[in-house]
Amino acid sequence: MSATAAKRPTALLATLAVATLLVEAAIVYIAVATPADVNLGIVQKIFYFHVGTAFAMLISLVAGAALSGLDLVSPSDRVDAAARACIEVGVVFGAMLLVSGPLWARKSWGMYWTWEPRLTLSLLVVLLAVSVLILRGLAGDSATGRRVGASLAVLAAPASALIHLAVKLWGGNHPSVLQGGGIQSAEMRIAFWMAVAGLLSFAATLVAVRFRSLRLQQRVDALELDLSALALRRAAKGDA
Amino acid sequence: MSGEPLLRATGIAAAMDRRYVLLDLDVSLHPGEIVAIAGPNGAGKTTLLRVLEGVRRPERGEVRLGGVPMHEASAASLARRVGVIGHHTGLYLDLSAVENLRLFATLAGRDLDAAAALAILADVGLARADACRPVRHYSRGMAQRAALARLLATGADIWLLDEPSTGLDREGCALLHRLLRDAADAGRALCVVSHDPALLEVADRVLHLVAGRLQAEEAA
Amino acid sequence: MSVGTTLRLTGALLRKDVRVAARSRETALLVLLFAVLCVLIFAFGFLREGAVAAEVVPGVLWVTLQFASTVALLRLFAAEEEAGALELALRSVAGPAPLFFSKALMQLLFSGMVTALVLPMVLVFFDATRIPLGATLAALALGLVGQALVGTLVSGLMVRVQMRDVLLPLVLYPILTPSLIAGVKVTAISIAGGSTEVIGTWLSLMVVFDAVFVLASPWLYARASTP
Repeated sequence: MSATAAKRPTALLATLAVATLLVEAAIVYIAVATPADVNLGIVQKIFYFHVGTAFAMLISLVAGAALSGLDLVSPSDRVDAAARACIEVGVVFGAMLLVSGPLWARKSWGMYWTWEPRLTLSLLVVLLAVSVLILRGLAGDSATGRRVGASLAVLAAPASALIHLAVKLWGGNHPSVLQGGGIQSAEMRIAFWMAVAGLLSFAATLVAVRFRSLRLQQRVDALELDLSALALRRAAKGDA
Repeated sequence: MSGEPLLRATGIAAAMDRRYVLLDLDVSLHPGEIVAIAGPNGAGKTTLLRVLEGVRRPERGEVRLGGVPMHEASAASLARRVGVIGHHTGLYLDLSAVENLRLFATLAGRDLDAAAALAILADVGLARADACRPVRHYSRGMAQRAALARLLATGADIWLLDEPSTGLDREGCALLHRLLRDAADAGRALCVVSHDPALLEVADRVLHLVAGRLQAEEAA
Repeated sequence: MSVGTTLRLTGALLRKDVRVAARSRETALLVLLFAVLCVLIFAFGFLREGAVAAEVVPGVLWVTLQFASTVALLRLFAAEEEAGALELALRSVAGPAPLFFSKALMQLLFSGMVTALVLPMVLVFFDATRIPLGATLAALALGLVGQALVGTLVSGLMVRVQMRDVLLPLVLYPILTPSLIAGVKVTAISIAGGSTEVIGTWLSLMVVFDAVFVLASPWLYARASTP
């Protein structure tokens, strides 16, 4: 048996470098170049990272659900690892979102939480994603557990779309409190897109890291399996 | 052995907890033949049966049902052709044996009226009065007989049985042996996992499964 | 496999479930008792001197129904688990679909029964016997169907998962939010005498919800339960 060493994660390090540069640049740019919001003052600057975080969560979770669906239709270890990596990273960004959101809300709306549609949706989607991960953990590494987890991840997709519809209708009856945080100048727009790009590439890096570690774990498992086959064959020979 | 096997498993390997519990197994079940699988506890007998049954997909290898890979076989052919008695009797405890038989016959695409169900149950030694009581009140042996009757009721031509003599008395065992022989003579393919030496006697072939691998095969 | 066969097998399995439920009445009794207690607890929590009916009735009604249905869902596959009949029932000539649909219908029967008890109870206890019920009844029908479709799927998927009694609501409730919000809204608006147009919007959301899951749930169930 040939032991092939794991490839050096060059691409991974490159994306990490890009993500780091972008995020750092965004922080500096936001601090130096963007003006304070006319209504909200300096607090508004949370917005740049808050929205990027939301994008990263949304994209990761949608990708996670889509990949889970793919794994359900034609099972593959690669796809399964990718789906899990996406959902896990989605939950991390969801947690960031649910922390940065109320901080901003406290200053701009005067309260930590309102049942504004997007907030409600984020909370429910994060709860769903967490429960899918818990389920995956409890169901173990069996094929059944994997299919059950994937099914629920797929189920969460249309459910989230419907939740979005419902909470929008629901929130529509409240006075809208979502004001401020808009983009008021060219510098703000540049800062906004820098932050979004930075956070998205950071999310991609995290997904890649997690994917790599899950794949390595799968390979370790496969090697362990091969080893057990070897042991079984040797034992049989010994008996004969 | 002449003729095409009804069920053929080749190169089966199944893992549990990152360890193979079955490795490099080839098993063919031919019509008219009783194949017994014997071996110590933990040798992988039940896992092998579940692989043959098609409810557990092996990590490697393939099970073919009449030439079609198991996971591509239609629901209809799986339901009609494969009959199973596992560790549990698989009977609804709050239904009577007659109701169970009729339900499982319907699921296997057959019509079975109450009289026919009673006749089958009489064949396995369940009297009419018992056959109409909920299975919950049966002894283990009676429930096992009812489970055997379920195989007859569904008309499956491949029988997979895990320790079918569990709970059966001497008379019940004799009945089981006769039933298995009759089924084989009628052209069915049978695979029986058992420790019971008497049951191994009935088999045409005995496969010894030790630590996930087949030892030399012996003709009984 | 043809639609006819699926329907016939669904019927056979449903008859079986009804028969089992009629013989061991524990599940039905437990669920009903739980629902009654739920309403009582809400009464202790919310009922004050004076009229608060319009404010709490929608919430009490819909939340009680959701909780009581969860109890029924946890027992939905009990007969199969008890004697290891699940794999046999999944393997019908029409595949897993008849089992799914029979269980969803059974759940609908249970939750319908609970509703028949809970609705009058809530109306009497919270002094709301004179409120208009037409829209609420329509919403209840749609809501219970959606709940049964999603609930049966989640309950069926979790049969072999540890700690599912805790995990089931955790997964189920976020998915059911649209239906819950819509139901509460319909009842609240009709009590307040709001516009039929708004009620119509909420009811159509529930129709969409049911339509999505009548397709998605059986497909996912079949996918997840074939090896």
